[in-house]
Amino acid sequence: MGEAFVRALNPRERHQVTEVVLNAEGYCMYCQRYLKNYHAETLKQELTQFIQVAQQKPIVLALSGGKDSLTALYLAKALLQLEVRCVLYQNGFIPEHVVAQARRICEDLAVPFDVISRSLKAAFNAEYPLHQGQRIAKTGLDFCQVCAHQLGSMLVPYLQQHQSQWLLLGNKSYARLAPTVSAFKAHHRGAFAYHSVNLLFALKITAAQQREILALMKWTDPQLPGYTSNCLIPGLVESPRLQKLGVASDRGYIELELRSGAYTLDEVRHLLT
Amino acid sequence: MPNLNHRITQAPPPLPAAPIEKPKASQAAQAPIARPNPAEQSLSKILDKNLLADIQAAKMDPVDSQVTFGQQPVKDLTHVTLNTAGKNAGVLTMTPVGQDETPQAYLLKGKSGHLNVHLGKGEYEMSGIGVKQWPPEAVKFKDPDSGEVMNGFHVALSSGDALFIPNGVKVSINNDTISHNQFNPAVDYQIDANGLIDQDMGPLMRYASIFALRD
Repeated sequence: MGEAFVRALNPRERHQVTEVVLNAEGYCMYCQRYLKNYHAETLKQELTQFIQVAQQKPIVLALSGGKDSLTALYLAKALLQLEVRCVLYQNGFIPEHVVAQARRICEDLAVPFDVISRSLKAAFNAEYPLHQGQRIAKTGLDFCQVCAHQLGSMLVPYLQQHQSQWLLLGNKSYARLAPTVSAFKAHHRGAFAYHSVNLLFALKITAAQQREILALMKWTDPQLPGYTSNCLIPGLVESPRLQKLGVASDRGYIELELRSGAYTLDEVRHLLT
Repeated sequence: MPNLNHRITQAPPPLPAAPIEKPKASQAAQAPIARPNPAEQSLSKILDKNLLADIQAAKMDPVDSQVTFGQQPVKDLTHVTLNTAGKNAGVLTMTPVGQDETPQAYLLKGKSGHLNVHLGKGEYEMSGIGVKQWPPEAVKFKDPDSGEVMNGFHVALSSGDALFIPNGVKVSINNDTISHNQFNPAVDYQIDANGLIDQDMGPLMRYASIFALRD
């Protein structure tokens, strides 16, 4: 798996994975930890426990408008029958047609849908200014971290407002590797505690299954740059970051999803090429 | 900086759970058989049958319980030194190592906001939002491997802070320098509510955190 992933990267990026050490079987250290800490029975127990406890409780789903979180929404509502409501963080870079599609699907599923907005445009333009028509990276900051921080600061009050201690996420990858691989993670913000759930990983949804579920929702591809995101930022920073740091961060997501079993190696190769 | 040791062995408080009334046996017997809705029927053609059976069984057996996931401290041989040091997490020092003087971006998430530090050739500049301890005080210390005196800076971290440690950077906590071959410097480490440093995800997980909240 590890070596295979290294081969899946294009030659220009191969030098960026020098920290990845493969063992005799060809597994990188993360794949080794994943295999060592992956216990199917534990994952099943956690999922069962979540479903048992989450029934009739207020659940918040962080909806990005992308296909992963929309799939999670569909499964939470149609399969698990959870009392879910959705919140979309508009950072100023989510195209309106993406928001509109998310709203339409929420309406179809009779799920409350809220948008919370805080523009990151000024901060983004300061970090990735336009220079002669091209974006340049001042430091190469991974702007998704900034966005995640903003989202976190806004989601906690939202969870509290709706008396929810469960936050569903659309991630197809694990939430933590240790002590066992898990789709769940506990968070504490002062006296407030909540759990996040990487629902697609918890349900072991593959990319192939996801395509069929998206068809049930009549989802249409918004045709945005980047490999995985519905946000415009990754597409804007991919090239500047690669130039500055030699890092194309969008691909990191795919690595995790490959390790988590959501994609086959062939699918990853197809995505990257 | 508070001493976090006392929290190491304490489990975080369990989540309070609203009571769920289980149907009595007599009610369950009288209840109509639940029929799948059209969406469920469509999903039944897509999803694994065993998974569907497990989900149905769980839904029919709601419990009034308190659960916690992800509370166990990380204990991994690869990171044992860092975890030990993490129990005393306080002043943290970073310094670039190796011959590569390529400027690197550092990201510190402090309670007062994000810090972005651009460090190259022993100098730093920063942009973003400052915190009380910023700008960091430049410090000199000896590289534990080479004995060479190196420049760095330190910043106090508290529970809830997150740190992005890029490639080629050495980290020390409370002057207990951790050699780069004892931990992977390309991952996110978190100082969690227990004062433990929890290494999770892979080296490129940072991007995956759009909706994955960091403690």
